Amino acid sequence: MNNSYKHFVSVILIVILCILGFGSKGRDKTDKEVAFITCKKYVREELKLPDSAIFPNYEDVEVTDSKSNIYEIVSYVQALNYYNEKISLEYKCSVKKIDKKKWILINLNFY
Amino acid sequence: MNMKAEILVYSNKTRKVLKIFWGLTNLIIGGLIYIIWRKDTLLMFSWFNKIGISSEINMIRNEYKDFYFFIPKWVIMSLPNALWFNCGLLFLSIIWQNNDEEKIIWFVILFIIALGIEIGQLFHIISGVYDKNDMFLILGVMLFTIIFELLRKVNEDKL
Repeated sequence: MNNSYKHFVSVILIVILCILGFGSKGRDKTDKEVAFITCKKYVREELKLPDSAIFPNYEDVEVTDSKSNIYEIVSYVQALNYYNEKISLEYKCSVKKIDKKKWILINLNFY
Repeated sequence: MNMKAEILVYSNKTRKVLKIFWGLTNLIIGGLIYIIWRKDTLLMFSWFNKIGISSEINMIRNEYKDFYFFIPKWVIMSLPNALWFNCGLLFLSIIWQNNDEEKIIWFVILFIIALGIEIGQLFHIISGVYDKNDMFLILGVMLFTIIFELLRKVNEDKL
């Protein structure tokens, strides 16, 4: 392998590594994703052991948007109770987007 | 070919195979950490969605997500970056196996890119969160590679 070919392979290697590195960066979240993240925050606040909370992935959650920037999420959370038992709680959460950074809780009910 | 030269050629071949194996292992481990335990808002997940493997990825994530609580946070947040960097150094050292000067130049280029990404994140030029553990691990990997390469050079000179 001559040097110019080695240089070419080295450049390709670094480009591939940069693409892989770029893929590990975040992207801008959609309003529905932010609504889900906001609801997760409020759900955690209601749990006895918030750090134990495990939520489903965003792709598995149905987020419905209505008029006036209100988003409704029906989903579940798995968490530990005081007895260290794993429990699953279903919830319905509504949040409203006020502006890009401000969201407020409208309603949160557990079933 | 005398015996010393034969030993050198044999050890070079073995080393090359080991480096390829270890480089790929680094990449696979780092990739799996990202796929299983990192947030699904990362760009790579929209790529998975585009190529139609989202459901398989989610299945793997759901299967192993409980381990998240038992793994140190630096392993999930910083180790993949160091593995990515180490993989790059290993492959560059294979490409420039017999040319130490060029090898050092390419090591420095990759080192500058890896550190540049972190510094870019610190000053919000590049998206992502700056983490000092990332910097320490990159420096650690670079230091380890320099020591490894120096030892190799000393051993080769002895032969």
